[in-house]
Amino acid sequence: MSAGEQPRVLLVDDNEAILKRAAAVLSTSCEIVGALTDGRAAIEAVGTLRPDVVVLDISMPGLSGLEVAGRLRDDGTAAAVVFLTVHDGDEFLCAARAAGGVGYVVKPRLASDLAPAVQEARAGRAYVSQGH
Amino acid sequence: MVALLVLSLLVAAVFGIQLYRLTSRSATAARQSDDRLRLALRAAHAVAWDWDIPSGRDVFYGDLQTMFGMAGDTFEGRVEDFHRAVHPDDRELVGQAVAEARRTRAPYRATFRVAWPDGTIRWVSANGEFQYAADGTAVRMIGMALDITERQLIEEKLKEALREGEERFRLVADTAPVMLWMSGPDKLCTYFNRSWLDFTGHSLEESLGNGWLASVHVDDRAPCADIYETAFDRRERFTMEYRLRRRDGAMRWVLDSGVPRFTQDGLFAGYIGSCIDVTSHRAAEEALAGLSHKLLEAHESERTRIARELHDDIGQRMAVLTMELDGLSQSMPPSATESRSRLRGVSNRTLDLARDIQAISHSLHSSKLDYLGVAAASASFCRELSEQQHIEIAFNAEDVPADVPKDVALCVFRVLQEAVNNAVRHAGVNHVDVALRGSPGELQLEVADAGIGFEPDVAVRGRGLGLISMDERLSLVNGALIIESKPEAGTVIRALVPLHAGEPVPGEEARPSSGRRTGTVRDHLRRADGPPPATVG
Repeated sequence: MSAGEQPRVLLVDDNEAILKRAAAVLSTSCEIVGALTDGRAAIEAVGTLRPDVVVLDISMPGLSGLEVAGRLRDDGTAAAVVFLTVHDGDEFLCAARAAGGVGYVVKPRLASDLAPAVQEARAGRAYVSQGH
Repeated sequence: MVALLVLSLLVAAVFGIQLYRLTSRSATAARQSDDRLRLALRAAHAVAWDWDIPSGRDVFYGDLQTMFGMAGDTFEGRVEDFHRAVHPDDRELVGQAVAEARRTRAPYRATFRVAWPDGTIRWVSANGEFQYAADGTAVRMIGMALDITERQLIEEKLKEALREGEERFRLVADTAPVMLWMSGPDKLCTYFNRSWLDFTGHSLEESLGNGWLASVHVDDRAPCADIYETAFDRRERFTMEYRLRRRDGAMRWVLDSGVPRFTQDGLFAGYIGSCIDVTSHRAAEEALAGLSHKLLEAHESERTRIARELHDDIGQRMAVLTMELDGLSQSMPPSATESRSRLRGVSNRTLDLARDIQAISHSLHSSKLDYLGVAAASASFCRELSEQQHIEIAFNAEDVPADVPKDVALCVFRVLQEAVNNAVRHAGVNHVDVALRGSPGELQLEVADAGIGFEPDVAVRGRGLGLISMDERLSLVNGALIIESKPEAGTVIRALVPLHAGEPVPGEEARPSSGRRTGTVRDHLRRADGPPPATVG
């Protein structure tokens, strides 16, 4: 991907309303390559869709977002991970970083924080919601 | 002592007779000797004899009237006269004893009855010995007979009393609704009552010795024998439960209690024990434990369900609502300052509401436990409680594996919450130490404070500390709770849990040396006095 192109983003959240909202927020600045509700399916999709950024929910049935990120990191995936979650404690932020996440956005700040977090992640920089 | 004196006199007297014969002392000396002999024999209810075998004459000394019921002048001194006085049923016995002593040169001893002419029966104990000529021919027999009728009667009465006592014991034992057994000092069983024999369907002969073990479940024999023999060697009471095969083939659980028994002289005589069938009791206990476990599981499952509903449904919808409010605010024209400001206020209050809902969800079931593991969830809980209660809670985690099974993690986390809350509320301290340590195959939690402490045997009966509830939780995952506490000496609560299902309950290897009372909840319940509580928790 060249610097001028829109980042390719894969959205993963078990809540479809959130997926819809996130897609709407990113629609002008990103190319949404997929929106999935399951962690396992997301791991497979990353291999085929090759997104630049994966936006991951943490609390999902089956594999959690932290586990999905851990596996992507272990697989050596190039995609950057931005967590989008309702969890705003320091422990979750630390765990997200340990799992390889570069962005951390709390859902109530989705409208304002998700797009800059994705842009920062694409550039390899960290972004954390204020007052997470 | 008196008997010894009398016997000494008798021996002296008999010896005197022989001396008299051998030395042919003066008539005066002989009379004196005869007088002493007569007095001694009368005092002892005894008669002495001197049988000159070649002549067939039998010289008797003593009171023949008292011994044989015949006047001395009616006795003609022939050995046949003596034989006539012996009870007809005992004559053969006496004859054989005399012949045996004569042949073997061993002392003659016999106990027999004499029949008086008036029909009175008396018991006599006779002792004597033969003397032999140089060619080996028996030439003489000297001896003494004691009237033992009174002693014999007492012995008979004692035997009768003993027989009656035994019969009474057997009657009671055989009608008792419990199984009874006795063993001797050699550990071998010597008695089983009717209930035991009816239960097992085996005869007394089959059950005696170690025969009873054949009815014990094969897996229980070695542990049973171990408990029995250990207690036996220490002369201690014991109680054990094992499976015993009933006559219909069904294996039943029995509770067997044994106590050492001693004779009146204090000599160890073996054991006596009783068994009752506790199968139904055990089934009821297991059902109760199962119910308690199910209640705990149902409670936990319901908390988890509500927490997830709050988090996954209401929490997410609140998040979406906040996003929409933000979106609405941003889409309004910059000139609508007041409306934008009010919308931001509504959005912030919605955000606060969403956070409160998250907090309720978290208190019902920790999402950190699910996603971050037991160490992170415990650290977070301690930090939050510390901030709320203004008490220092030092949490330390060492070598806690990342893959602790979910049921173990939840159990340890709940026990930690309960124990730390107890310390914060009741210990009266401003510092609590919490440690979570992993070791190969085991997870250990320790919550320690230097506060007011308590008496564990009493506390397990109370409801305030939830010790039984913690113990029940731990028993679900094969864990154990160890309480170490003493009034004014602080408290340490330890929870030990195997990390892999099916492993045994961990032991109490970490015995403290503080003088505080230590043990599992079951130990304290066993030690505690008084009736058990109507409800636990």
